[in-house]
Amino acid sequence: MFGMMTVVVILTMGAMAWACAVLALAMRARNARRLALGGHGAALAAGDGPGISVLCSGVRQSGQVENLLSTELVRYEVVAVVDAAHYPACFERLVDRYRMIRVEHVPSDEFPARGVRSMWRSRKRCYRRLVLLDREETTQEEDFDAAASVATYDWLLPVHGAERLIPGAVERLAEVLGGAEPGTIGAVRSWPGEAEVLLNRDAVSAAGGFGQRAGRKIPRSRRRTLWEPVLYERRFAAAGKKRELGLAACLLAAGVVAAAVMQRWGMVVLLLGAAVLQCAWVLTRLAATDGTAVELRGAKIWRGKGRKFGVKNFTLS
Amino acid sequence: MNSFYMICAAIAAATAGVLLVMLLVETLRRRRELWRNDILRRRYLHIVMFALYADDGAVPRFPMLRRAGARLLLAETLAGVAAMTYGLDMTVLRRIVKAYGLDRWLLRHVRRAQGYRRARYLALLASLPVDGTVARRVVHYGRSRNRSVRFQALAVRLAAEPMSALRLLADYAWPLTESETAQIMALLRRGVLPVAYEPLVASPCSNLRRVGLCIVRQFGIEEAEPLLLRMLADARTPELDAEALRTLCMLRRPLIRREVRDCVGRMSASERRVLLRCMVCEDYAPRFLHRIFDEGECGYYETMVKSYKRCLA
Repeated sequence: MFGMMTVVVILTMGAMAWACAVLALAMRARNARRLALGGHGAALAAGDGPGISVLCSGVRQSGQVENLLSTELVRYEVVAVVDAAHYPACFERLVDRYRMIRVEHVPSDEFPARGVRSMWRSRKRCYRRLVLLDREETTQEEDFDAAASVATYDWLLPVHGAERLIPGAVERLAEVLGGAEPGTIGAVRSWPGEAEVLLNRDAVSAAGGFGQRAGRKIPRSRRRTLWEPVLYERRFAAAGKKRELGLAACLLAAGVVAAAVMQRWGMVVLLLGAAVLQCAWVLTRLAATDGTAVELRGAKIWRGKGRKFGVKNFTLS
Repeated sequence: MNSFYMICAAIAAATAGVLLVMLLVETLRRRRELWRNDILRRRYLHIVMFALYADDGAVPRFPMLRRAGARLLLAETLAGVAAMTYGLDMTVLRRIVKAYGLDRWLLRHVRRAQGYRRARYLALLASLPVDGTVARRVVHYGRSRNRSVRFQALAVRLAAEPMSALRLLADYAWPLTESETAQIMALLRRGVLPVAYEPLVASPCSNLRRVGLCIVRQFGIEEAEPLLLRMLADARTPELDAEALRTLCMLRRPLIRREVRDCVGRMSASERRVLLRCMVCEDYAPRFLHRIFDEGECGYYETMVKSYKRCLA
């Protein structure tokens, strides 16, 4: 029993060290984001940076498309895949809202995709960055392959289900890509938040498409981790979460005091370890969402830092 | 063993204490940013705009400047105004910077901060109208281990001493990335740096050539075509050759040239596909493409071009 407690204490100390390391990385990422959004973002918006194609499968709400389109990067587009047979209202709404025209769809050898019924491009000037694919609903990976086959740019960001972009996230991704030597990055991962990956088009194509887990085939030396969220999903945060957290903190503090009085030092380490993990998690969340208007994985929206100086939403001619 | 537990408990307690203090500070800072800074930022911007409009030689008064974070807000406001306005007379902003000692305040923070925070303060300095004294005091940050700090120190010097921009860029020992070139272009668009593309594109220094190509692209200088073709013919650096080819594309110049064909021949298959996608965006007709690309690539190009054509059936 004595030996078991020692192992548990060592594991707790290890977990604390890990949590502190993650917190340090999140804080560093926050400072990098503040630097990037302070000036570089606007500079990249001038049209010379890397191009990003967002591939969106399972669109059900036009608000999601609106969110995905609301970025200032010039070389950017959204390819949404919708099954018009199953969701005719959603499809019609998108076609009407963005005044889309039907264009020719020719299957590509780069990403072979089947089941595409039609392809549409937006013609309204401010939304000319939207491509809509009507495709029979099968798997998300096949949707992504179909979307990648008509994508224009060299970087692909797959968006699942009802995920939305955190404001400034695409500019930040472009900043990461533009800040590296050409050819040194194959994929950019993001943590915390939804587990999304920005992938190099050639890497996906070489892997044989999204169905082949392209992200894992890229060498580790060519993967980068962005210690901040890129996407979030609108969910309703549990009511009274703050109160629960406060109660847990009080119970932890009482437990620590009681264990210290009884001189159960092993228990004290465990309880303090839990407190450290809790604090580190809250601080990481705060650092990760600093300057954005969204709290991770929650529908709670707070007023973010006001952007006084914006750049007009340029589009390709 | 008990002493081992006690040491672990002490370490855990210290860590928990530090994190709790950080959490408290962060929460208070967040609250301040959410509720006070928004209003203050708006007020500062209003005052700066009014001062620019009136331009009566007086230094405007900014409320609550002694409060925590207010000077940073003022510096950000001035930097934002300077960055987003073309052809702005910097006299009023310079007067405000001098009167409130923003340059000295930022230099002090640059000295105290580390890593990206230091780079951020340097970036703010680069956006403000500062003089050569400030530039001389940031020279040693050009030798920092952090790439962002090194580059932002260069940006401060470029903004403060625009006449020696070519020398500064040529002396910068690290290759410029796309983001860094974009930031230099932002300085240039503000009118801080001269738009003389010829010496840049013809220069043997790769950083200068990169900036020159960026100028040609962003200002659409079609007269640079002979220079670009010469660059392709010389074939000194493959990355810059690809960039020169992309520049020709973005200028929508004819690509059926010997230099272009040779350059495309030197490119890898994936680079050629990137070029083809760039050509699609610039509306090149697929008619003469087979003179440069092979059959498979021509087919790929036609597939993409067709996806932009309206379906009449």
